[in-house]
Amino acid sequence: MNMTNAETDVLVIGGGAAGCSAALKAHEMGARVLMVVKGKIGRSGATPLAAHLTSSRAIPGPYPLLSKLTRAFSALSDTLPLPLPARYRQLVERVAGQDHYWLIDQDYVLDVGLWIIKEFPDLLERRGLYLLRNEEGKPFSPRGQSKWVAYKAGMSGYHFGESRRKEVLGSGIAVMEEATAFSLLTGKSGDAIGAMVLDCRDGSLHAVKARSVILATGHTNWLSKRATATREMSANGLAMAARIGAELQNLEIQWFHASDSAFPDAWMRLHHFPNRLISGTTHQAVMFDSEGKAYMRNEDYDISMPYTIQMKRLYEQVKQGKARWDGGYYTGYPEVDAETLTSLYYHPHFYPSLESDAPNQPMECGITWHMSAGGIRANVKTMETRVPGLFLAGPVGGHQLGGINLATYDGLVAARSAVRRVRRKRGEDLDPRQIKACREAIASHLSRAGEQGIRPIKVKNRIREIVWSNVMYAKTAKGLNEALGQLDDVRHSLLPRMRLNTRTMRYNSDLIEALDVEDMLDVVDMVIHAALARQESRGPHFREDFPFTDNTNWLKHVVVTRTNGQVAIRLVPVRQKYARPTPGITDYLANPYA
Amino acid sequence: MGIPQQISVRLFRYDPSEDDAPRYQLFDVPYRRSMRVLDALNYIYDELDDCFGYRWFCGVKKCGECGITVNGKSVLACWEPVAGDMTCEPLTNFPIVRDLAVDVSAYERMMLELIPYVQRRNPPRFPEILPHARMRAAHELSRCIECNVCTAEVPVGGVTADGIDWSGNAGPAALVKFARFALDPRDEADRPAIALRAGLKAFRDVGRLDGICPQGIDIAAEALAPALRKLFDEPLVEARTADSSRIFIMTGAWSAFVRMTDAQRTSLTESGRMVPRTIDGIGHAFVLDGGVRQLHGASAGIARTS
Repeated sequence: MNMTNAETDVLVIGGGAAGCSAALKAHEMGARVLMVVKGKIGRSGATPLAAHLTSSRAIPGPYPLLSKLTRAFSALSDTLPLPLPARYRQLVERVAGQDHYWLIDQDYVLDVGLWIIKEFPDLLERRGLYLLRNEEGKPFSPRGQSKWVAYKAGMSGYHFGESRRKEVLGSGIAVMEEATAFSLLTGKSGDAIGAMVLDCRDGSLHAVKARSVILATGHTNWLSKRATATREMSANGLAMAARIGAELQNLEIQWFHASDSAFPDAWMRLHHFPNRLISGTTHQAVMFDSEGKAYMRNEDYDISMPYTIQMKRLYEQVKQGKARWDGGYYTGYPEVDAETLTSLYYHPHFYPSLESDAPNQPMECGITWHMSAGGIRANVKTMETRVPGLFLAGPVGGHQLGGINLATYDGLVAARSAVRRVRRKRGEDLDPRQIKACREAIASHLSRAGEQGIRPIKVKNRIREIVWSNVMYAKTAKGLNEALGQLDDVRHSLLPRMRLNTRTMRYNSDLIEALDVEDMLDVVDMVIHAALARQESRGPHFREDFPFTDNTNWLKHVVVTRTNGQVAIRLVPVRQKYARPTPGITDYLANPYA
Repeated sequence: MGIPQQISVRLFRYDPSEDDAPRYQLFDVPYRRSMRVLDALNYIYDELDDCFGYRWFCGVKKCGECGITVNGKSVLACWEPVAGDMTCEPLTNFPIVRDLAVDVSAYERMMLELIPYVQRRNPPRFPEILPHARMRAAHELSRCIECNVCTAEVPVGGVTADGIDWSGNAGPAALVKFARFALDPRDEADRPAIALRAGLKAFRDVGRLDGICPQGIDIAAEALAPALRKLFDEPLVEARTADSSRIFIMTGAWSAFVRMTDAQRTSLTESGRMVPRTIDGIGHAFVLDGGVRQLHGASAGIARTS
């Protein structure tokens, strides 16, 4: 097996909005950068599926000054209970309360919010991306939401990613695409100092030595039978970080989509947007049960992202036998003009290929495992994890939910911290034993290829079935424990029999997936333990055996580590610095906004 | 409609690191509701225990990475409905990595030279006033996802040791992308000079692109003609090239074999009459006896490489 040694200052793992932002910034700062991307920059991962590019209504003033003022205000607020200006207060309440269920650092909300308002828009069109304008030449966002679109809603992420792709490829940054970083390497000090990389196209192995490592592997993974993640997303970043001692948090706050296509299978990622439409109408999607009766009008709820409410209402339908989690219910836009919908949204033009008469008519849907609010825990001012040298960018972190804007901001912060470390620290030597162990793991898979056994994709699909049965919406301790037992079975009875179909070094996806399986098992294990630990329901985390939201006792992160196969949990209170929810316990299902 | 309960898939297999010649493998796949070609490929991969090489990421016509040839036509596998009998092959005109996965890296390097972004000295701060009417042409073209399904439908300039020789003939996908920026009123790059390098004036064989774009772009009317008009004040004059053959490019030995008709393909699978031959300047080609060899003789795309 070919192996090369490579050396760089900053290793960026991941090629979406966060990874591109980090790589371009570190490159601009003069560091040598290597990007390792499991899929292709801007074309895989969560970025190409993003619907909108969101900013907010302007706050007047120059960014550097506002940023300094905000930080000074934040520092002062640590000792003096200062009132937050109304505009900022709304921002915190919406982002912290509605989007993050009060499990987010509110100073981070201010920092990222300000950057998104002041700086993100200029970055968007700098290289010629075009945010749809009206005939007067103003960005098209008729309801003042500043949810802009590139080409159409549903394709904005692709176009942003594509624009970044060309920028990275033309920048001189070293790039390895369709190459998977499968193990982070640590030095004698325990610091992250590189990664082992397997190039899928030719099977070559690369031991990459770096002085800073930035993980930017995104916020969604194909861990369940139905999921929004792209083909390659297998929680590699989360698993690798946990293995070298990083902490993870909020893993139980897993989002679901209630309105993704039920068929054909490949189109389970086709999203029928339930939120406020950019088309100027006040009408939104309507959900229909198996008999065609409307059971939910999304516009009846005063919230920009009605995703959790959709799940609550669907749960009631499933309980009554009027829908299944994987079909038998429908999403449509009967009150929205079909032509307007088609001209502003990407998904309706898929309809005529199916069995629909018109693009606003109800389409059969199923739920999908979507993004996780959870991820690796980091210092949100530096993006450094508990492992020195290991930084993160974007929603692979447990500090935020996602979005191209937030991911891009994180990339800048991570790059600055990573380059500072490059300038400060001398490189450590790679540990030959770690490299040897990685080589042996690959060699062991290859040497047994072709033997009678179970292919990695079968094991992956088994894990996805387990998650689908017991770790989706509406969880119980019984179901979660059953899933843990089933995962144990996978480890003990399927893993030893896992065999690759071929030992070719060319595009051997069996080999990549054999590595994925270990990561998926570890991460699902942590997700389940986190879900068991949170004995309440919050946002998309619904425990049937604890059907209440407890704002007195549960404004806490569930922080997870995993060492030698053992998950350890600690609860860390989340400071509600500027805004807080009403204390007390509320009925989760009865209160749509809980 | 007469959709069969069972889909018969004839899958192209070729691993340049292990195989002397390509072969076709037969699979029966049960039909599922509204099934796409990608669903059938995934079924084979997941359920019929065959780790063939194919590329896809999103499944919903965003990533542009699942282009293949189905029954002789270039398609996106996630978008194309299944047919009862499907021969699935890699996209033509790109070197094969393995089975259905092709290598587009040479294309992407070439694409970067066409300045695939808006070049301007002093971009204003957002939001620039930009009436949609001025942006409409560029905006509509931006729906191109560079899947290269169109690139696979036209004769290419030639084959070199690195793959396709794109000089002076960038192919339709690159020209669409180029036109998207050339038609952007904000752009200040020297587009006429780039257009000449990309072969905008030379590309006339637009008839074979009708209805091929999975995003529904009319490549001649929306991209080529407006770009020619804006940059050179010239109309698009269609012409048909004599050579209609397309080639599969085998990496490793840098061999190529000529496109076959379905009947020829069938006879190939049945009899295994594919014969390796040496072709000057290329390496090995896999050719058939009879008509295909004549087709090979007519292939300017290959002949030009020697």
